[in-house]
Amino acid sequence: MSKADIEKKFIETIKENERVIYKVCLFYASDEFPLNDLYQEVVLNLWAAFPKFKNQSSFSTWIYRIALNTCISGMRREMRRPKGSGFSSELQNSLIEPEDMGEEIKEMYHLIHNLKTMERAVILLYLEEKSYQEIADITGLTVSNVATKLKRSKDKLRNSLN
Amino acid sequence: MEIDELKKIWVSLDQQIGKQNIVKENILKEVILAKSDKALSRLLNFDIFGLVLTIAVIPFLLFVLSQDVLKPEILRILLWFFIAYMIIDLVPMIWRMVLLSKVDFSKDVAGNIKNIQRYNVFIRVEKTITFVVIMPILIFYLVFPVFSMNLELWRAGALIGACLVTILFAYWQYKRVYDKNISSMLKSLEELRDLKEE
Repeated sequence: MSKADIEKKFIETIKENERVIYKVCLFYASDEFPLNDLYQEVVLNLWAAFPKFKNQSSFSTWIYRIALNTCISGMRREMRRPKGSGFSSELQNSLIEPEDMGEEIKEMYHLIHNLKTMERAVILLYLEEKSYQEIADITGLTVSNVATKLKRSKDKLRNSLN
Repeated sequence: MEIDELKKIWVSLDQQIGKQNIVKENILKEVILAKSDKALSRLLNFDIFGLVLTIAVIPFLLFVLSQDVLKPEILRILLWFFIAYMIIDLVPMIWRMVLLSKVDFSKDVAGNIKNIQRYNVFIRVEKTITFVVIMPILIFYLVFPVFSMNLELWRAGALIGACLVTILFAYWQYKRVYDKNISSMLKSLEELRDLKEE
């Protein structure tokens, strides 16, 4: 397969899964890590990993795993990409910030930001209706650990909601 | 609000973002082309390393000259030549780094291409000088003692080995560091330019 074909296939794949990438980035975006910077970093990491994808897991699992790893590691260390570089302004216009969404979504966004990074990942996958096994496959946690974290996250959210 | 309500909100968010194309294809293409950033930092780091090394080596060579250990005189003259070349070469080295630092992938593509091409000219000139002038002199400098002095086998071997390492390093730095990264950046920038023209 030529480089142009790989690039075309990659862009098609991203377009098919753009909602997944967007939702993961939305979960982790903050003032410190703007949505468009996270989105760029995730796309770049997916692009770097794309030739190595071996169909050992489903495409969506693979995308979730890379997107979550990028966002979580981005929060643990300073993003390699300097802020404001690349194509931030064009991306910024394309991505809808949570602040520009409905009140309910805005409220949910603020609630989720009270959770720790890994709890956020587990809740995100729970909202995406993934099974415990799928959450474990994506996050690299054990199934029992997923159950514990999910319960703890739900309790935290419930307390915040009340 | 309960957890189940969060699920409902999540579904509505999904529907909301599902109605539109989040990111246009050309933006995605631009994001993946931004990998040129990495080639740029590799070149910049390599140039900084070269500058620091040159600045560190000059005093050492001056020290060697001051020790008056170089015989015959031709070796002293050649060493002076090297020191002079290194000092003169500091100017284009710094200028090259200035050109690289002007490259900003969030700005005008044509300007970036121009800067990289000018940088490439510097590298090509330096490559020619290195392989046509510096390398032969350096090889002579290293091999001369092997033939002119009655050196032990290990010393002669070490000098010839140093020659080979120097040639291989010079070849590697131009082929694998400069040529590869410059052409990768130019290719990406040209693709970007085509993309913007579409």
